[in-house]
Amino acid sequence: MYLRSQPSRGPTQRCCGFTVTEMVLGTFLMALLAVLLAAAVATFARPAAEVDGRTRLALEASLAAEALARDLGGYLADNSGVPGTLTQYQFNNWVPSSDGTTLVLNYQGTPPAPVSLSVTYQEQNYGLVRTLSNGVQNMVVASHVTGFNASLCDSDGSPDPAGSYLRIEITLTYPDPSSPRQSNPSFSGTYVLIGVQPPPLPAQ
Amino acid sequence: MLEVQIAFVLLGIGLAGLCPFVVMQLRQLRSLESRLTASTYVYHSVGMATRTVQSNQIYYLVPWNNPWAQKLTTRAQLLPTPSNTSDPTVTSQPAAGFPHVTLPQVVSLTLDGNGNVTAVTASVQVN
Repeated sequence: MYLRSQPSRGPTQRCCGFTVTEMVLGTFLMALLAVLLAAAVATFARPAAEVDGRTRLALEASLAAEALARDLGGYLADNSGVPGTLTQYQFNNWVPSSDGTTLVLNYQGTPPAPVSLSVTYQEQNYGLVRTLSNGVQNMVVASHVTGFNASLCDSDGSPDPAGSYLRIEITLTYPDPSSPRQSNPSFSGTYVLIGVQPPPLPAQ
Repeated sequence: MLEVQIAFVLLGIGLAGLCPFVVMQLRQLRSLESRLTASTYVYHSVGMATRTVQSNQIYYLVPWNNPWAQKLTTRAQLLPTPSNTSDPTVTSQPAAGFPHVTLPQVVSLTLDGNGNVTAVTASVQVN
């Protein structure tokens, strides 16, 4: 007797691809992941970019303030390391330009120094440039400077053409217009410094 | 599905690990900005409206009262007030013939292995 062998059934043929349910579930998970990533960027990347820009502003402002404090201390800082006498390199006066874009600080230069010396501050190419009157020493003391204004004022900082105080406004912006990085975020800060005249030399 | 849940949990743990770094950076930034605060800040942040913060903070560059302090420190004081009440007023100048001090040589510094200054050597000439 022969038993007719039944043709064995192989594994069920599954069609390739995925079902609508799987697609919907996958889309939902992708959307959820995108929301989570966007939240993570908003939470971590934005503060990181903000810290970067604001730190640069704070550092450049500190450098600018330090340079001005050095030159408004009563004597010229560039004295070759030789203290000399009290009259050498003594601060004489400050002369802001009429439009406020340039500040000139004059110093006495009794021998052996030159007769008079001056230091000029102005904004050039988004940098605060300090120039000594000998024309050789030209130095950028701060970057990202988008505004510099110097004017005479009262002790409270209110403008006064006959005032005995000097109001200096420095605006810093990061990234500045010369930077190749021109996208958001950007930050700017305006710093106000008021120069006080040094007291006159006491009488003997 | 379990794998997806595990992946999300790991992602959450990883993101939570960034929190201390962000907080540390913000604290350092605040400390840095407190040294010199701008009168006006303008922020253009990503996805946010432009913010303007006015502190109206101004600083005074106040020279020292003592002329030798002015000359040797070569730096004005950066103060929030127009004067420093703790800076003593100088009422008299050194008499004529007061020793004239010069510094003929550059001041030399002695550093240890970590780069810290351990000694300062200055040669002065008094005549």
